[in-house]
Amino acid sequence: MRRLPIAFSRLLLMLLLALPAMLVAQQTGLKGRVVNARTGEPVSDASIMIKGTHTGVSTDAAGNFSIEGGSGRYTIIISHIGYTSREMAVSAGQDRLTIAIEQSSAQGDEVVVTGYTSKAKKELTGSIVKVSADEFRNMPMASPDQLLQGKAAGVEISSMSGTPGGGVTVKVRGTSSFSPNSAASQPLYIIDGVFANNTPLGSAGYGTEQQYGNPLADLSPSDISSIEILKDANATAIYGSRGANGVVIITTKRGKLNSKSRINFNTYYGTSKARRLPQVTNGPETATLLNEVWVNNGHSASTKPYADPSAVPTYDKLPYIFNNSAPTWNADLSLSGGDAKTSFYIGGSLFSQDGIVRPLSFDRRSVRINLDHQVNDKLKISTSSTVVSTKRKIVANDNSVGVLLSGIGLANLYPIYNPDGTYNYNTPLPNAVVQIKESDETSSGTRIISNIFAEYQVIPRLYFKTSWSIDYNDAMNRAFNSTTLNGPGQVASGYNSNNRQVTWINEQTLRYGLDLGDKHRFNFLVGNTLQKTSLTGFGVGASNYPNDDLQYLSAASQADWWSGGATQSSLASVFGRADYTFDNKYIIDVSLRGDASSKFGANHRWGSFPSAGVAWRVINESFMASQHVFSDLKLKASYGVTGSQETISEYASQGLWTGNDNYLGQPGTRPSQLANPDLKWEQTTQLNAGLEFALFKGVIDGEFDYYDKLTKGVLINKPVPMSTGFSTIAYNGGDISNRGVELSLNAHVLKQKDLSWDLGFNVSHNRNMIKKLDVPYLEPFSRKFIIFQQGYAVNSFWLWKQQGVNPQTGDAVYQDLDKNGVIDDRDRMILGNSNPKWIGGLNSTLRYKGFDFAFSFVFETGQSVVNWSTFFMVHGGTRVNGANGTATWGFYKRQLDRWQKPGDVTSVPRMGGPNKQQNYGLYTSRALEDGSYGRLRNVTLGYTLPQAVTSRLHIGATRVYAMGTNLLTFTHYSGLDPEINAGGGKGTVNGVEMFTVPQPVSWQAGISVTF
Amino acid sequence: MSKKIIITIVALAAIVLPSCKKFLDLSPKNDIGESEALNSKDRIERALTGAYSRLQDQSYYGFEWMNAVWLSDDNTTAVGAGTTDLQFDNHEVLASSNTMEIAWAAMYQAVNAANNVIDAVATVKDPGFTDAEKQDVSGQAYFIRALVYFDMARTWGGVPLVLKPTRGYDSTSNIAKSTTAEVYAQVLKDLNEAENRLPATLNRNIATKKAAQALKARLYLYLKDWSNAAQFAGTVIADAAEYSLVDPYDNLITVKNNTENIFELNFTPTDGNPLAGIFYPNALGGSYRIGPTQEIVTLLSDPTKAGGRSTLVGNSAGTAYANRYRRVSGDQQDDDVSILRLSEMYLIRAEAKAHQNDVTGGLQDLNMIRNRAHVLPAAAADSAALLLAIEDERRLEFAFEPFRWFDLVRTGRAAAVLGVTDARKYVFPIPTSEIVANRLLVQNEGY
Repeated sequence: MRRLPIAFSRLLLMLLLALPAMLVAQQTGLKGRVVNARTGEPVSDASIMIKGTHTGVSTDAAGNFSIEGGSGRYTIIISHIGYTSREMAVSAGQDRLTIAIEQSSAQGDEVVVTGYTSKAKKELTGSIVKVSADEFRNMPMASPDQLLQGKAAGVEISSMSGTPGGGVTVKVRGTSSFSPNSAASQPLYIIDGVFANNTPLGSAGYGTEQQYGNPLADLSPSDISSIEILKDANATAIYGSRGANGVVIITTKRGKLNSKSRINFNTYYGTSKARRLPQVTNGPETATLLNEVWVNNGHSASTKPYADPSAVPTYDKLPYIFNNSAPTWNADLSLSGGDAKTSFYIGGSLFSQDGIVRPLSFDRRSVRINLDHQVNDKLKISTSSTVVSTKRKIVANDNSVGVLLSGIGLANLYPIYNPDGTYNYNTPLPNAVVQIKESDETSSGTRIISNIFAEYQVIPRLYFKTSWSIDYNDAMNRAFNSTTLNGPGQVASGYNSNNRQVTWINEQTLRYGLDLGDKHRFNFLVGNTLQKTSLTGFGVGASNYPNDDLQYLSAASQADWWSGGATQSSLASVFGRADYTFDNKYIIDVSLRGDASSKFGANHRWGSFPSAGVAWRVINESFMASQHVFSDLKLKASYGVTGSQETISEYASQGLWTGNDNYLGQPGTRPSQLANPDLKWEQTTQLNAGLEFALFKGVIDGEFDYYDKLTKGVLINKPVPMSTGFSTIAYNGGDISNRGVELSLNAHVLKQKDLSWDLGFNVSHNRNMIKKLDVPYLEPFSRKFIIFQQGYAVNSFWLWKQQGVNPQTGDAVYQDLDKNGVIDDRDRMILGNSNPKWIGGLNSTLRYKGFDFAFSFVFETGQSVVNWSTFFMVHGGTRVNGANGTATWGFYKRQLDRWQKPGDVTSVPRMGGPNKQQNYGLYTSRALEDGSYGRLRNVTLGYTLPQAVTSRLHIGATRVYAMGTNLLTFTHYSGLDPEINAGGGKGTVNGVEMFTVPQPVSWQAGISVTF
Repeated sequence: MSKKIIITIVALAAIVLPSCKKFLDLSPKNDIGESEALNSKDRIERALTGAYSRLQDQSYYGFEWMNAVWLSDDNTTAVGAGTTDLQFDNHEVLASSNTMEIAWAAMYQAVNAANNVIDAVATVKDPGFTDAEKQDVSGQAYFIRALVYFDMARTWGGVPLVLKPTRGYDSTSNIAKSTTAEVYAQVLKDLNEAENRLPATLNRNIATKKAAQALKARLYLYLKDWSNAAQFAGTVIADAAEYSLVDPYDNLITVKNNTENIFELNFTPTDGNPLAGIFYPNALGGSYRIGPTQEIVTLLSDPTKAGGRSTLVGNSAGTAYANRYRRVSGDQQDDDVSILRLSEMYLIRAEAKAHQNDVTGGLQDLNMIRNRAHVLPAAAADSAALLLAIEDERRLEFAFEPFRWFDLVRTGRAAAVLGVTDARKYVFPIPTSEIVANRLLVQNEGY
């Protein structure tokens, strides 16, 4: 202690002296209330200082304060984050003072929600982006995560497919884990304090890799007030094991105390279509190509499968598959308001969207009730609850037997209907039209997310909060496959399955704010969390129903399969945080979290996750006073550790046996999991350094960040020699690095009464690299061309490089790496990966009188996409009926460019022939394309009716608007859509198109009325 | 006031600390720990059931491994799904082939299951587990292990011999491969164990003494030990009370547990296989992935050659399809897979006799099979002619089963019949992922 610096000991002394002073109740002096100048709502935690002294108090939850110490006329300073500070002359003895303070508008004064509390953005040492509701209102997207695209630097958001209510991939500062479980590599979502599950339970369709429903589609975007994205370790470390992939905090709308009840009604209607349809050959073209295959395969031209190709008919299935006017409809109604003690927000919404691929659809009905009640001056109780019911019409829509695969894949020279009007089942691939019209499969979800908390002011600025939450998620899937669907000779079949995930969370926090004089400000927070998640599921499949009208399981005569199971996991955490601001110039904060997970063995259960950050508000230095360029300038740096355990299964460290290995009707068992008692936390350390600035009185503001993230001991399913009887083991197996820069700029170009124009631009660059991986991981998706290997980025593509087509022979020429004259696995190379180098967005909002015009443009460049559909659709005659040469699969038009005769120069090898396996069976760079794109995500034109009109109509503020989504796309990618992910729910499959539903292009119009 | 703070902090601690360990100690409900899986007679028998189920795996006898084998012969051809199957059809198999990987994985799962049973029988302390029962249970596990290693040796040649159950992962999990001869020697050793331990009871769906003897006959045929091959085939043939040829041939397919079967993997609608759907055209509810070659269609349609076996091909609206597996509908899919049957024993003995220059004896056995098919008896002037006749007979008798590729390889006829002149292609590549995961493993020559 003796060696402590003097400043610190003095600080400690002041702390000790100040404490009792604050604990003493005041009897006389100044009493009053601080309110928001605009809304009249009370402002809690506002600081009241007597000018020139160290005496100060802060307001309670009802805005009241009482201060001793002044005499006669004196001046107090009222300040609060997010408000403009105000000085006011007062007289001792005043006891009903009402002080209105103005909310400040400059970006630096914006308040953001951080871990367990909120803070002025200017005081942050970490990197947090806030997106407010205005920036994404009414976009025709089912889920809130889609709304963030292009809004935040360093956050890559891409929809997996255009399936309504389908999955979305969100990556904050690159991929730092890899796991087939996609939820594991996504950020933590916190909805009104509830750690929301984002494990998909229901399907949005399926294939070999399921396209899962997006759990966040359970949240109605109209209820959201703001979304914050916590990016660096300093911001996320307080969430410890949950924060390694970033944290997304979603805050929903709440009522305001002392406000008139307001009704807001909003509705829109729109239609969507595909940006581009697949270009398939017609009947005569297909027949010509197949005749060529037949001859090249060494058969006589006289026996060619199609004697007269020009007479071969074309039966186009695409109009049955793609809906070019798929409707989207939304209506939401909310009521909010409050009296002196209670405020409320009640919202209800209906959303219905048809897919651009039939018969997919998504419907959502939701209700939200948010209540806040001030029991007395010290105790506040709040609750936030939403109940959501969703229904998805699903169908096999991906890459095994999906409508797109068979619909595009099956050569279109097979009739859809027989002459008598019945379906034609006699086709080499399923007739997709039968699936579209006859399938009857749905996934229905029920989601309840509810939180209740009580916050008690123990003494001024010391708050104890206890919070209890539940996240209940239930998905019921069912299907009835009629005899019409299953085809002649087949019986009807069906299934019902149910999955239920329930998480409950209990959390306590204690926070304390302390100002010593007007130069030293402290905030402290400690807390704990207990969390338990249970997942249960079962399903039954049955067949042979009496007729097609009896569609429920009870009518079936045979059970085909059944399943059932349950898992549980729990997490216990303690955390603390402290920050200190000196003279509004220097900010230091530190945090520490300890997490214990049931997934690890007893010896490795606890992980500790510290972080620290510093910031220097250069603008407040005296030497900055004389300059007029900067209106804000801050330098910041942070370093911290976060962890992850989400990538592994509940009992990953244990050696296990499982059942359902039956024979002769007898139940059997088998080894199912290899033990790894050494399994421990995956840890990510992240360094962030940045600069925030505002220029020319806030006309331009911006932020620049550099980060360096290193994830060590990445939890992977490490391949083990299969001769062990196992394929993988849960293992801390690798290190992944993500390094990058982020820049965001905002310009308030015009700021006049009737005319304003705001521009926002952000761009970020990330470099992803697997620093260490014992054994390369070959993702089993499709033909195993996705590889994770040391020294390369995650999700790299391992292909044969086609150098050209020999003009003499028509055979593909591949790079022969080992120059041994044989093209085999040793000649495969990593030729690209799915990680974009640059991502960003440009947002503009222009307002003129009642008109508003906004657009949002997003871009991603440098990533590769494997147009894997071409492997199947430019098949060169490898997918034909080998016995007689007739068609099975059709072709993309690109096949017409094939080599035909010596001298032809093309990139498409000859049809058929003895080398067809080498020409078309290898996974070649022909399918690899530059996936870079720029996309006009959104354009909106709105008009707010003049008050003169609305008051005559006896309505409140009214806005009508029209909007277009994805209207323009700039890309060289030749497939259906560059923003695509055939891997669906799988975290280790990205950047592959394989009969995947493309992003819709849509138009819509709507009206919003406030009463 | 400060009291309140203290109370709050104490309350906070009270909630977190005491129950923490209990809160975090969760046990699985769908699975059990290794130590509980094999600690009694009942549980070891469940594990044995599981070992049979491993043979049924879709990657092994349930489809994929058989697919690799029959696509390599000249009876089947890839007509549907395309290029993966073409690798086998064209004998251009890549080490990265998914079929290779999943078959390899499934087979070693079966080995590990058998190893667990063998180990547990030897170490379990269950007074209710009699010696006779132990002999039976471990005998079945030895048979299963022998069958799997036999299949692995003929598929890949030498493979790593794992004979102990896997309990964890460390550097000893990497095992170098043994030679083909060493693997076959282990198979023989395991079959001797099985033969000694198994009871002479009749059950066509599980391993019995006769099944072990039948597999030994096949092993000796591969080892070109003609006298032992003939002897063990003869032992099974001699048991006429239990094993007899069925007539018509079609009953082999339509009647489960018919008298001809020695070891037949049982499938049920709830525990089925996709085999019929692979061959059946779409109009009949299949995916028509694999079709018959024109050559086999011609042979099977010739009454003088195929006789009763003509039902092995069907025709739907002009499309010829293999009709060996038939339970295509979603509520069926329960075609049994015959692994060892009496007709093979006759043909093994015929071949062994031909090699021992007993042409008459060989013809006699061969014609047992031709008689049953209702085609005229064969004649052969010498052993060479007889061997060719047996080769042709096996092609038809076991059409669309995993026989012909291995037959042509072991008789040295693959070059002449299939045109596969590169002898290194007579075994398949070890999957890339295994080479990568096990540093002691060396890829087969030519891959």
